[in-house]
Formats: sequence, structure tokens, C-alpha cells
Amino acid sequence: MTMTVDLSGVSAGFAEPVPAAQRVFRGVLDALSRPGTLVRLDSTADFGAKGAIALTLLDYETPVWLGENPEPAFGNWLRFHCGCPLAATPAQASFVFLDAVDLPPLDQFHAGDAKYPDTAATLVITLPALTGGAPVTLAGPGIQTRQTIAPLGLAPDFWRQAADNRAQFQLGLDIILAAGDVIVGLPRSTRILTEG
Amino acid sequence: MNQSDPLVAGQNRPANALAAARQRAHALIAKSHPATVQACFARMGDLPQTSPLRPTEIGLIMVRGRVGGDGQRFNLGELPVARAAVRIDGGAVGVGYVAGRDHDHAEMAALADAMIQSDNWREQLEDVVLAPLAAELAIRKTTNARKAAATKVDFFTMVRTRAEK
Repeated sequence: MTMTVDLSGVSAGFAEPVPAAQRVFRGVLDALSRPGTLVRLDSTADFGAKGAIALTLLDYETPVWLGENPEPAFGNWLRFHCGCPLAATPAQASFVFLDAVDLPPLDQFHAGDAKYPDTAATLVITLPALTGGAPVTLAGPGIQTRQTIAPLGLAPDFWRQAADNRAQFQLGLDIILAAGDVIVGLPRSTRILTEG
Repeated sequence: MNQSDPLVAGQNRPANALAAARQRAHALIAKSHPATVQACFARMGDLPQTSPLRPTEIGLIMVRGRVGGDGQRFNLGELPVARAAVRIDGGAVGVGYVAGRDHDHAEMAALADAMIQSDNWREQLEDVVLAPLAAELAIRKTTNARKAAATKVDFFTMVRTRAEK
């Protein structure tokens, strides 16, 4: 009936949940409305950007997928602070937190359906760095002309999958790339122009 | 209704003795008046340093009921609940849930829950806080039982009629 969470390793969340979550929400909103710009999240929460996003956006109605063998520290922390269920399969998750090296093919995640495209999953992908990788050019809503990013550590195939993700618009995944406490938004509306 | 009482040793006992001790402490503090608990903690003198794991907060829980053992479940009503989670020095984490909207009450419950898991504090907590609360609750229980017993009605006539038949 109930699963016990081992609290011994759980660290504190936001000290002041409302102002802190509002600042992080503003950051996520900026990142997703201006795709490709680096946004630093104003948060002191553990686990960097993914921790801040989790504390801000998750609750008991948002199943989360953390991979086949999730790191227990982050899973327990999420369960305690957000009260969110852990999804049994990638397709059931509305939020996904993964390191880039653990990322399965993107078509495993729920991209919404024709009646409810808003139910698509949001992916938060943790990278070693958001600069220094192969450059990729983005265009689309929220970008004046062109925007170039060069995140480090994504699989070579990722940008082709991201382009496929754009092709099924208005279905599609919303992706946030994170390194430390800096994020880059790649909403489903963004077009990938040159592949890495 | 055969409700098990966590204050009575041996009933509803989990496999783990520590879990049983924590359940008992939770029950004692949640059933005692906040001022009484506060007075007990005031007698402790030194208390461990605490840091909140999440801010103490108030919410509503839905209390569900059932008529008899096989009735349909229904929502009886909502109950305000305060909850707290604290870490004390030494690393033990305690959580507290109490009915009502008293932050301090929930924090004391969480503190006691953390202290009972710490070898340094367990005995002092038992002597100064839990034992007096248990004694007071036992008195309250017998007083209530006596008052209730005074209003008991014996339907002896019906019993006798049936017996003579």
C-alpha cells in the first residue's frame, strides 16, 4: 500500500518554496520561450538544475522516469519533496530526468496525442557542459533569426531524433538541456537546421 | 469496532522494534495537547540542533469511513493536518504529522521522532517526554471510561424475558 522512503540521505529542498519556485519557474519559462539561450536558474537546491526544476514543476500528478536503474538518492529526494510517483515505463512519464549517456531513443516517451498534445513528456537531460560540443543551429518561434548552441555530451544521433520530434508537431517532447544550474530550452516547436 | 491501540504494548506491533517505538511516540504526541508536549520538552533542558528538511506546512487530508467491516467506503470529511520534517545533528531525520494547524505541535512530533532514532537522545526523551505523556493519557482514558460507564444502560428486562421463555 505504502512504499517507505529512506530519509536518512535526503537533503533539504527550497528553504522558501514559493519565492524560490517562482524564480525557477521564470527561468524555465525564459528558456523555453527563447530556445537556445543559456539561462541560469536562481536556485540553491541540491542536484543543480534538475533538482530546481523538479521542486518547481512536480507534484503527485506527474509521474517521473529516472531510467532503468535510477540513482536512489535523487529518487528518494524527489519522492519526499515532490510526492511524485515514479513511472513504471518511459511512456507513462510526464517528466523525465536522465543523464545524456542514459538517454534511450526519444520515441519511447509520450509525445502527447491529437486531442491532448499538452500531455507530452518534458525531458530534462543532464550534460557535462552546454558549450564546447558540436555546434547546432536552431530556428523557430522565440528565435529572431538563428541561434547556435554547442552542448557537450549528446549522442551523435540525438539531433536527428530531435528533428524527428519537431516533424510530428504539434505533438512532441519538450526538452531541457541542463548542466550545473544552467539550462537551455528545446521546445517541440524549435527546428534543428544543421546537424551536429 | 476492534481498533488496535498503539499505546498498548504488543498490539499492532511491526516487526521492527524501532518502528514500534516511533509509532508509540507519534501516537503519544499527536494525542496529547500541544501545551502539554511543550511543557515536557521545556523540562528537557538541552535539545539537539535541528534543521528543517522542508518547511512545516498545513494541509487537508480526507478522512474516510466505513460502516461496519464490510460497508462501502465514504468520505467522512476533511481534517486539517500539520506536518514537519527535521534533521537533528547526528543525521537522524524525523517526521511529524498531527491533526490541527499547530506548527509547533508538528515540529515537536518530528523532533521526538528524530530523537528516538538517535542513541544519544532516546532514553532522555522516553524519561522526560514520552513517559509523562503516556501517564497523562492513561489517566485521561480511565477518566473518560469512568464517565462513559456512569451513563451505561443495562437492558436487563429484555435479557430476562428472553431467558425465562
